[in-house]
Amino acid sequence: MRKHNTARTLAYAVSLSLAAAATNAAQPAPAAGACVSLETQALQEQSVAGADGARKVTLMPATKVVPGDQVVWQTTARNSCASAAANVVINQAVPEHMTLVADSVAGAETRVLYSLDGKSFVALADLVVTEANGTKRAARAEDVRHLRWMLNGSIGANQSTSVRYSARLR
Amino acid sequence: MLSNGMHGRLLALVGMVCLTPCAMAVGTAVGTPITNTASVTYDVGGSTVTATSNPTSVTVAQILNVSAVVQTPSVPVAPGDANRVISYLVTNTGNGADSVVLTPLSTIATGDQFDPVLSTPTAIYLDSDGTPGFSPGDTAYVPGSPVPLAADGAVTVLVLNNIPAGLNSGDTGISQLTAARSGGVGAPGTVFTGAGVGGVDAVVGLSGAQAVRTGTYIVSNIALSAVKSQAVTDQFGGNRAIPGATITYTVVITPTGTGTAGTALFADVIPANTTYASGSLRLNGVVQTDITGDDAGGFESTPAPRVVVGLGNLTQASGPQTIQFSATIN
Repeated sequence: MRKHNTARTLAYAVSLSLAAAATNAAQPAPAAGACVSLETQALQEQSVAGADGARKVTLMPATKVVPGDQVVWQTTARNSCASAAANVVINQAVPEHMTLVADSVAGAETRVLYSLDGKSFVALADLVVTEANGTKRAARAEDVRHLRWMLNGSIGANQSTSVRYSARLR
Repeated sequence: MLSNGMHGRLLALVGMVCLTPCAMAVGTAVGTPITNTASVTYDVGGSTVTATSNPTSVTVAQILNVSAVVQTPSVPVAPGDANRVISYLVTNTGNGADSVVLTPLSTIATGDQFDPVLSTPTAIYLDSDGTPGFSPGDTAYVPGSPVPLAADGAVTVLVLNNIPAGLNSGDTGISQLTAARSGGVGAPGTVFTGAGVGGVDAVVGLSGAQAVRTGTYIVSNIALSAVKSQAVTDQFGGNRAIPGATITYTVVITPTGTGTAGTALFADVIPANTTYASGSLRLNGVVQTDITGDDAGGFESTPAPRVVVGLGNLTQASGPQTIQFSATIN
């Protein structure tokens, strides 16, 4: 929780300069149709031997996922238009059979919101779970079913940005 | 562990203790598609647009795991007994259908005083008739044949041994069962390409895709069995095994047979990642101090934190002895 808040504060700081850049950017005529396309990839950490023989952990496309394994879901947003895309919001659900890994949600210069139901999105610290018996408690990572990344800046023409999180297969 | 001072016999505790929920032993079934789609909204040139990503799908591969639990860790026998049974529960703890090959071994070189002799012509039966223990309705196991097990499926395996004549009271003989995946075993992480259900890859889990367990025959007229259970209470009023939660362990030791188990001593190591709750030790409902020597029970912090209870001389007439203690999850 503390780690997450720190990351968010940092993202805010960075966003100030980016927002300024976005405001100053030229705004050409709006392009018709889709400007931003998304690609989602399932990745896994794999230990690969380098040329020098030393093993290094790298992210490779996930091929053999078994219960207990973590998958890094990475979504890349590409702006193929000649104008900047502003107020970019990326939504993604944690897939069925998977649980979110704590402190794994990342995205440069973004504000991340969390949701239990895909409707109400709040900061993780403000997310409350109501148990079957009516008692309320702070949500844990495994309670989260939906994620929302709100980009602080815009995606410039022909630019892209990536967000990611890790989830563990039950 | 439980030891009997007169015979120096050892008895393992029955029952699995899980700090994480036991019900999730298997996990998501092999072949399950895990699909993920992202959506994006953005403003460009004054209009708001929504777009959706390609659905990305990952198919769950097969994890290969086998567990075996000895249900009769200590079997009291008399010299010359025939077809004495050690019972094991063999479970496919992977996430897909698989099969295992069963191999018995009774010629363990160390740790016992005699070698039990595997029964002939059949040393292994599969408990197929629902009657506890060995009975005529059980299925004779053909050596080397694969026993199919669904995900989370289990089979009770009965290993039969004859006990040699001319043994002394207190002598022990160990018998071992290996339950190994018929399609091959390996170090955790070993991949059997395309060998999983539906042709997906199969990955060896932490069990190595096999389980090796032993049971012990004890030449004796009395046996002590121990059954351990646990209840978890968390600080939020639930029963989740989370840091700060309290696990209350209950161990019931039952003497059966004729004769006396002399100066029986119960000792149980506090599980890793938990801390003994001071003053929680009870024998038959009576609080025992944590100090050793002033009453039957005590807590020892070295060499490993453990609770110790002296049970004295036990006979069948003593009845079940109930020991309780608590530990908190760190």
